[in-house]
Amino acid sequence: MEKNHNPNSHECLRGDASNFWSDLPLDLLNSVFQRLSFANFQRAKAVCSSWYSASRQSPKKNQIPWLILFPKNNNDTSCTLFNPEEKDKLYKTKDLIVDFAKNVCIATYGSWLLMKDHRYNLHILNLFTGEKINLPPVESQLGMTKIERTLDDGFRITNISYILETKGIVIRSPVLWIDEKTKDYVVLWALENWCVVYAKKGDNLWNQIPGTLFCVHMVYKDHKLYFLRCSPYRNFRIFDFSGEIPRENFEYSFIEPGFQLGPRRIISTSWSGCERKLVLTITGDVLKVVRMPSGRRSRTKSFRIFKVYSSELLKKHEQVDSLGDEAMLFDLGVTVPANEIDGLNRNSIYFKGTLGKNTNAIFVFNLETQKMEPLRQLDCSSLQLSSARWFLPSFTH
Amino acid sequence: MSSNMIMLKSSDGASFEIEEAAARKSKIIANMIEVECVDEDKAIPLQNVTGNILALVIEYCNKHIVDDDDDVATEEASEEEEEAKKKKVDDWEAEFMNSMSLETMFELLLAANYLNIKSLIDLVCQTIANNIKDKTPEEVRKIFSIENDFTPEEEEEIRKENAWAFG
Repeated sequence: MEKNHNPNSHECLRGDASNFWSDLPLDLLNSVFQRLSFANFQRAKAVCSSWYSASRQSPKKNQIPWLILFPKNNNDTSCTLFNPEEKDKLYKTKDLIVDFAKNVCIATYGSWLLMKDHRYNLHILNLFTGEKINLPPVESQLGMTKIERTLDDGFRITNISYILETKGIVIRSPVLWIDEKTKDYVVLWALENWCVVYAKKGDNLWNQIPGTLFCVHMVYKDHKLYFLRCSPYRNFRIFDFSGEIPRENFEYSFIEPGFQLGPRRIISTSWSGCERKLVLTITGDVLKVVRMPSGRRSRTKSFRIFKVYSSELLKKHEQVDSLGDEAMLFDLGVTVPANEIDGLNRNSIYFKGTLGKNTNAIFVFNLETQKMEPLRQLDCSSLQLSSARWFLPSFTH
Repeated sequence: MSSNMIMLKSSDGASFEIEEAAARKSKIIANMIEVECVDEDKAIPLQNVTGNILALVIEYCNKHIVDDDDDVATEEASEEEEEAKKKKVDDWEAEFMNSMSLETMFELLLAANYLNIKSLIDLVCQTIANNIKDKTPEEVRKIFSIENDFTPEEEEEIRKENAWAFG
């Protein structure tokens, strides 16, 4: 390739043909852009104005998840980014905020992070631009459950049936969704076992959703909240967020498979020690994934997957044996397209876990071979993986 | 495999004879053959493609039609043979792209787009992407002779947006 790029050949291109590359038809330019990694795409935008405006219209390419690693000490205010496509390269973000290490990232959406500070207040932060959006104080609640901050900076949680004094609040299954252009957002989390709360853009308090006890996990897509709770009956529910207030869609209620077998069997097979999560697939199906406790005997068969929602109405929860050409990011609750080039294995589940000496490492579970192994590409000796999180960098910024 | 030959005529009047199977790599020509019953004596005029570019397009199509034949003939080829064959095609494509200037590449891309030859569009776009990869915007401008038409303020703003990528 090099020989085309000697100065002489450039000379030939000048004159008549000058700047024809900047006028490449949009669909062809997009076809080029889609072959660039995220970082290369960002640099290509800065070449000329027509490439820049084309990049704004470039359809989203298949997204490659990156890992974000948070700083270890308080003086460090930037994060390290790892892209499975560029195995030898680590990126540093610009200085984001002071005290970054004191804040904890509890969810991501695109290039946005949902952060919790040491006083349990939440904000949203753009990883690349540093833009910050503050969310209502955690004690500003609209609903039956009240939260007060006590003098020693703990909390008093009051409900009809109990009063609880606590040092910290359990923020369960936090979910972030944000529109890159309009900056409309929804943030949801479950307040311990009691209820799910949400705040949208413009809200100055957290709205409690009645009847959302025992939340186990939630995912959010296209103005729909998919909600999994710890209960044998109607454990999977859908709330529609397209209107002013969330409404429950009752069409999709099922009884957990196995529950008809009798109460003892249920407890032993279904709910003991398993981790359950909902996962959104590329096509919009919702999977319920059950991760078996990793212990002495469970090196194999670590995950069970059920399809619980699809655009076609399901009669029952169907067990799923293969993810096909997709990879599941268990901790992010999504599947992504997978192939060799992108550095992700197909039909595999990526998750954070502990096995033998590897504590809090990232593992890959292959559904076909039913084998589990640590994530190879990443030499993690120098990195703090315990706080690592996947995110899907968004191409509009 | 049919050995029907058809004629293509470039915008500057050059005529080329090509196997129908190779010409069918172009969706546009394949459509013409199907719909209009192309007259064997009459050349298909291609108004947007010059002779030197059409020659390259035909070279590409001929090469790839031969490879498709091979695939059919040796169905039971071992994995190693498959790999060797794929490498051969990859090497040929690399050499093919390497032999042309960026200006030719640009015209070839427009021709492939006009003739609707998906695999050739992909090949050229990938080559262009490889040329952009891991380079600074200044280097990309130099390679492709693109004028920097941003104001200093605009450029500063864009770079600031994604400072991490320039580190």
